[in-house]
Amino acid sequence: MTGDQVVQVIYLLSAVLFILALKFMSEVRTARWGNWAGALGMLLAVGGTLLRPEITDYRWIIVAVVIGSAVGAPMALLMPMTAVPQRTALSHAFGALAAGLVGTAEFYLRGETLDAFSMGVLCLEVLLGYLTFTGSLLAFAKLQELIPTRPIVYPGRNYVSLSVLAVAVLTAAYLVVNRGPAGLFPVLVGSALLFGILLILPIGGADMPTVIAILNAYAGLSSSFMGFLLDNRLLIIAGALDGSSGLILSILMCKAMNRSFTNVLFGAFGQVAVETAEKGRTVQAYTPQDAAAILETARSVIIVTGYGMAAAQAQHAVKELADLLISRGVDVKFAIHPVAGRMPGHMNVLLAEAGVPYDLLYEMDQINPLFPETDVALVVGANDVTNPAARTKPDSPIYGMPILDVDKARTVIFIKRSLAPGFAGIDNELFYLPKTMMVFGDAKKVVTEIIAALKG
Amino acid sequence: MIVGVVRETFPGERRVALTPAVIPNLTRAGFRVVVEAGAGEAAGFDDAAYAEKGAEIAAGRDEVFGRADVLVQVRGYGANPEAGRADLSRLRPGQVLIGFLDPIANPEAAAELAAREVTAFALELLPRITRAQPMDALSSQATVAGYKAALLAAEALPKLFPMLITAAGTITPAKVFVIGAGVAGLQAIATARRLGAVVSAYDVRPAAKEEAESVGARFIELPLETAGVEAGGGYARPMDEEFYRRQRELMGQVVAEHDAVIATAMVLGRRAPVLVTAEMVRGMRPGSVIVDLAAERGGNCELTRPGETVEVNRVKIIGAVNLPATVPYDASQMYARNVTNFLLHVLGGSGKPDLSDEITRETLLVRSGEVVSPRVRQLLGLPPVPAPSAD
Amino acid sequence: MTGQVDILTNLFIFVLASFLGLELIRHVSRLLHTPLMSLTNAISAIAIVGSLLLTGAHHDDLSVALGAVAVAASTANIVGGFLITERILRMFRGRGR
Repeated sequence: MTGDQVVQVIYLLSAVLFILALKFMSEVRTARWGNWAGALGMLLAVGGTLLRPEITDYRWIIVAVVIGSAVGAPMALLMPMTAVPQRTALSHAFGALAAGLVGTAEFYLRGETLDAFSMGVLCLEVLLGYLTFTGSLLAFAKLQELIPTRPIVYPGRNYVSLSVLAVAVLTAAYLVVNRGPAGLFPVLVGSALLFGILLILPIGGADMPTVIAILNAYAGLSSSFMGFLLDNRLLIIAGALDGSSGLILSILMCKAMNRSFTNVLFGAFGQVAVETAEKGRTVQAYTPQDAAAILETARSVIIVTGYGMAAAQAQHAVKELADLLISRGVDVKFAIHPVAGRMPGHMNVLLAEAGVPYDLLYEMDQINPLFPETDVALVVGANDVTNPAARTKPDSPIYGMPILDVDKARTVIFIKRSLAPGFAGIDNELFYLPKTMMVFGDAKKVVTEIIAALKG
Repeated sequence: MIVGVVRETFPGERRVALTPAVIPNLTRAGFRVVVEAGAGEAAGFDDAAYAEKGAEIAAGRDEVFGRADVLVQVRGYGANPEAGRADLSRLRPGQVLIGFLDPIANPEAAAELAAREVTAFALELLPRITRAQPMDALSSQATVAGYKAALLAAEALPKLFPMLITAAGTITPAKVFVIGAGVAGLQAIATARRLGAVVSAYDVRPAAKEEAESVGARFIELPLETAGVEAGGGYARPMDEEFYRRQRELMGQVVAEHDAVIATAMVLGRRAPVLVTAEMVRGMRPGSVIVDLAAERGGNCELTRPGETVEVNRVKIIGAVNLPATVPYDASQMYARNVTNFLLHVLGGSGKPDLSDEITRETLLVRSGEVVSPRVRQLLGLPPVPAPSAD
Repeated sequence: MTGQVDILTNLFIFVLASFLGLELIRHVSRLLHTPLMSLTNAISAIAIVGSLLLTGAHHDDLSVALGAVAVAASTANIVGGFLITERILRMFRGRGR
């Protein structure tokens, strides 16, 4: 096998690994392998490239790699976990910059010798690369609150953005047709950089994660175009994977946050959804399968039952779930709040009927100290008795009522029919905590699906 | 401050207002507790148990009334109109009285209490809000009543409650119909279910359907116009006579199909609606049983005699009265917790009632020589009092 | 002619890979949105291949300079991206474990 073929085989393996990385990452069980596959794929890609005969001088490469690692490692390791979106945005900015620079270098190196198609992809690569660069930097700045997080709009912004984009596109078109003059290139670069900023400016901080996913897609496309330019299939494949997965991911994220995709995307060009503190509050809605994935790794679970379980007559399903967890070595306790249900002892009747032994039932004062140590608090149809507003909001009608300290557990899974308020008629603060997973549906149905997912 | 507990004098009453278990809650808050000797005996709490938890035992009733700043009773004057009269003269101006005082059915008693210049809180007036649930004595006692009603039905019925498939044949389960899905009704449903009966339930309030089903009853729908019937707290608003006539007609068929009927339908402060007429009783199978929890308020069944068991057509109609007193140990435990929570809420802290608090304000019946509760004033024909100033 | 065939083949590959990406991610659980975003960010650093070739081929000073900066940036992207993803996944276990 010739040296070139070896490199191609290595590239092939790298592509396979990237595909596997995405596949593994799409399921909770295999997610960890996804990262390893991706890293290995990248390692092979780099290694294979370094083996190529075109590379004669390794010195600058080594220097650059060292510097890059020195920047990248602290960026990842020193950040607080709440800062994931902004760190990703920053990481993005770096990657997009690289793509833009490569395109730039290629232009000045062999711009005149390129055919129309190659010039076309080069311009696209450069355009996408630089706009993603500045866009990601701006996204980082917004998330990090270095600049205001609210959408920054100004009259006529559509015209401004579109004209900048037009400038970029026209410049590119001209360059494609004429392959020059070289002096026009900085115009392309400049307008791309500017457009990136203008694109992201009017989008609010809460929509940033979605935007980052889209920028991801752009960066991927940019790499893909680089692949067309350099006739490198690995680049094309990896870039395309990124491009499409980035697009889908941003659509999924929009749906999950109940935002319209076009609204977010074209927030730059159209109506901007202004969020108020009240309306903008979102809950994280998950599926029973997601809940099962979390329960699978839990060592301790406290089940908090309420009227919702009674109304759905889900006590038997709940017992079955408890039994299943217990059989897997999980410590399961039931927490019964004194006013859970609609009559005194409501929960007792149902749980007794289902055959839950008395020694699994704990009253509020006994179980509250145990919540901080518990991996998962599973709330089945209880509401007001878990509402932290009773502790924190003096003007709340339930202020002062002792509650179950569900919010102190590590993860909260909340099964509820809808977001409708409970007996006290107020919103439950617990729904909006990041650690809370809402699973909407009839209690019996949801619990049954969780059981099926755990068994399957 | 001294809290005093005396023996209940209402005929047949066996509960006691404070149990030994709650004494430490009061002493920790700085109260002293004086208990009349033998007060808790009928409920199963002897004097030594009280003393052990830090209460003082007083030899006689007069001593308790004489020393206590706060008196807690299960049935205070109003809810204990005859025997309770003797205590009236023992009340001193400025004393605080907490208990069931039956102000809506017996507003005159409130006026008499006002004349003694005490500060009286009637637990029946407690607002039915989430925060007040630990103090809700009506609910806790109704729970006991509902449970006991189901047991009485089971005991009186010549049939078994559960289904049994045996070598000696199959016993079909008893069919129990619970009228009224308030606290007592729900608990009756639950208890009957625990014993294995097939339970149906009816309530005029539409919201009760889900609640009854949530304890496993089959809800009976009667096609009636029920808009505006919800009065809050598990009670229904009184409707007009035409409504009740139609209701009786539809219910007659249902009643006839069931072995046991547990009636818990009550309207706040008024005579209970008659839902089961003599004719409906005649339509029931011999051996059937009716447990009428509303007997104290006139009864849901036409033939009910409070405190007695009547037999018509071999159908037993049990006029259940004061059922919580028949389970005095736990009924007292719950009542004691309710009343202690209430006492600490109202008098804990500064020792003076804070009238800006909804719970304190609504439960207050009598103060400074006046009947203060707006509803009771209305019943007495008195003009409304201007909003009380905090003092 | 060969140039055009190459382009066409590349286009095929591009289209196939795009559909593949779509299919793989379509039904991903909400729990995995964040690590997935971070992973695809790391993968997009594949641009390093171009940067390496540029720097290593040493055509002229400008290209080496730009290339070196690109390599550094891509490396930061790679190192940062995979490490961030790893941290996110480890937090996952912390949720249930």
